[in-house]
Amino acid sequence: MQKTQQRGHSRRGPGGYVVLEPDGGAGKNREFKLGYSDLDRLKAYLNRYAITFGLFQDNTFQDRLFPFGTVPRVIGPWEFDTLEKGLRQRVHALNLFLHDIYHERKVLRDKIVPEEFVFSCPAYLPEVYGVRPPAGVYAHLSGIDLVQAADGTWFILEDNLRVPSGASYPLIAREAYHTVCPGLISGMPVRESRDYPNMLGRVMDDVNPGGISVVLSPGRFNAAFFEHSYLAEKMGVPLVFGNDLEVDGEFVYFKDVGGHRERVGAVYRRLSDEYLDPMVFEPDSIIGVPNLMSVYRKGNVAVINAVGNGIADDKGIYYFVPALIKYYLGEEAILRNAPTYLPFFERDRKHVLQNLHRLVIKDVAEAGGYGVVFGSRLSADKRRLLADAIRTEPRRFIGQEVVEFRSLQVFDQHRVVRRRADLRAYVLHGKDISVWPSGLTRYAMDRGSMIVNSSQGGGFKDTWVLSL
Amino acid sequence: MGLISLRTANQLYWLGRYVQRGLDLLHRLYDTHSNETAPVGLRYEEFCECLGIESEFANRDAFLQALFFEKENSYSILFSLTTAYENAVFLRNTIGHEGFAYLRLAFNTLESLRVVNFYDVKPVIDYLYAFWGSLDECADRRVRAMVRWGKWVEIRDLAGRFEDADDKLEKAVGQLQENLHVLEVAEYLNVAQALDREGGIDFTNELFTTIYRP
Repeated sequence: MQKTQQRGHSRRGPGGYVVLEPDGGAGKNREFKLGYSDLDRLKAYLNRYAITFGLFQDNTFQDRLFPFGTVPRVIGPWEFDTLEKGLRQRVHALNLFLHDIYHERKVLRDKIVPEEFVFSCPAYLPEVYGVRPPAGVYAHLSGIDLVQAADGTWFILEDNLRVPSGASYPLIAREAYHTVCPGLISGMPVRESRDYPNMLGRVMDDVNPGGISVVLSPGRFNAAFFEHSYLAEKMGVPLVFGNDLEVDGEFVYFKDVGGHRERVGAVYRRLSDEYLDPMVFEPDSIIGVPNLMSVYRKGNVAVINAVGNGIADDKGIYYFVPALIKYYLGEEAILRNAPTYLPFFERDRKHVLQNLHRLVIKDVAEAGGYGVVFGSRLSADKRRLLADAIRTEPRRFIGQEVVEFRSLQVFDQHRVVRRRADLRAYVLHGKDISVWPSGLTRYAMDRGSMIVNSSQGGGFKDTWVLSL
Repeated sequence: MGLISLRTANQLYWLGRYVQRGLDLLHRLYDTHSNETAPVGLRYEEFCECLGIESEFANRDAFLQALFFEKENSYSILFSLTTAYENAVFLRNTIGHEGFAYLRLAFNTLESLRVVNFYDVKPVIDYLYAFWGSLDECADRRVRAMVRWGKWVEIRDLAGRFEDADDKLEKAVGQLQENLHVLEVAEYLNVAQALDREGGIDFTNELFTTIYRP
């Protein structure tokens, strides 16, 4: 009974409602409520459009509906202002790092990042050494994962500069709110987020050396195929597969069924570097575009994000990002990393091995929530095996303090429960760097779980950013 | 004018055919159901013959059950809508997500039914019409023409099988000719000659293998 009186909790029963809880104390003087019936309608709205996130389970592809947590996350204007500044700063520095690594390598000479740490990273691609992408932009679209600790402090957990997915989900969810409860969303007031396809389109235009823009998808059985399709529709550009494009001489072309060809100037690719061009990378790739890299090297096509970006979002490089910000921009990092240790360094390795029981260990080669191990949950035997692996391959792991991040309200079968949630913020870099005033909030399905990844069954929420 | 790849064109064509096959069969069954004893309605044995299915069902109800819901049989309506939906998943950006949603609603509604009840089936017909309407409103001219090409090939095929009145066949041919101009391929063949052969099906095969650039 006492719980239902707390701020943010709902009144039970069929006429119940949820009181929204803005981060950063915004809207303290006013209560914003979402009725249970609207929450049901929101879910039905998304079901109508088959908002899916595919999962491979037992070697079978399951195109499942992406669980939609209908109670939005709300971020206050001051809170977002700080996030925005910190995210722009971070992406700016990472972009400079990428240029440096593939050109002068001053950062290595100045020993900000150990040379062997870069060259031992599989995501470092010598194939693009000396290649300047159109307009000098590498990280066109970054998905930066953050969590908010119980005391309100935001921590960066991960940078995603290769093929970050997820923006389309809050985007279509926003359409649902505007349809189901327009009064609520305009009364808060929530910053408009539905401009995202235009923001992304502008980035593509900024770097396009000539020709049309396309979204390149690996195919129907990619987990995020819904997103590829949705963004292509909203941007008004063709969704293509590898064999819809061809390289002829200096340029890439889209092959129209009528027999004519259109030059392609910008490729928003949703496939990894290794599958992009079978003539340069994985020779068995049938989802790439043969000789695309030769056109890219000449600067005649922009690939979004740039090829070779993986070196900047490697979980080990993450450790150095505050130092990179200082090195390239002469500024202190506005947003903090979660406290991280690199077993690559002897001192850190010692610390990690002594504190395995309370740290979270991440395999730098894994993504999507895989390869994440909480030391506290391991048996003594398994902890010993992990320690051996760290001693044998120290570059493969990082150790992090466990951040007890905030739980948010989730409406589940006509009751409100709390689940841990992170935030993926999207930073777009064309002529300017901007942060999308929304984001993908991902939450864990199970009570107490800290794994929020969509590929591990997590759900998503829209993120409302309030204006001043 | 929007660009269309060969792969997309092929899928648009099949989307049109399968949507129309589902809709056309639903209409014919509805007429048969409501006119079982009247001369305008077909008996189910005749229906089977027109579709080339062996008439080995225990009774009319068993026939209807199979024709509606046997997903693994290519003659069933559920098979048609499943295949149409699978194509639409690929084509969501091309046909528009509203059109996609109507097809999904039609598919989900039919899939959720267990027994044939024409009142419950009616919304499936409504959603399929909404799909065609949405396509007209939202899709690019060439996209519409390609899906409609599939639609009228199917209408013509079924009209031939069910020996419909001549005016229906003529209308189908007229629609096909109209769409050929939008598809910018009329110059390749004598249109009337092309449509004479198997109601345009042969021509469509040529379209995707020879005329359009593979």
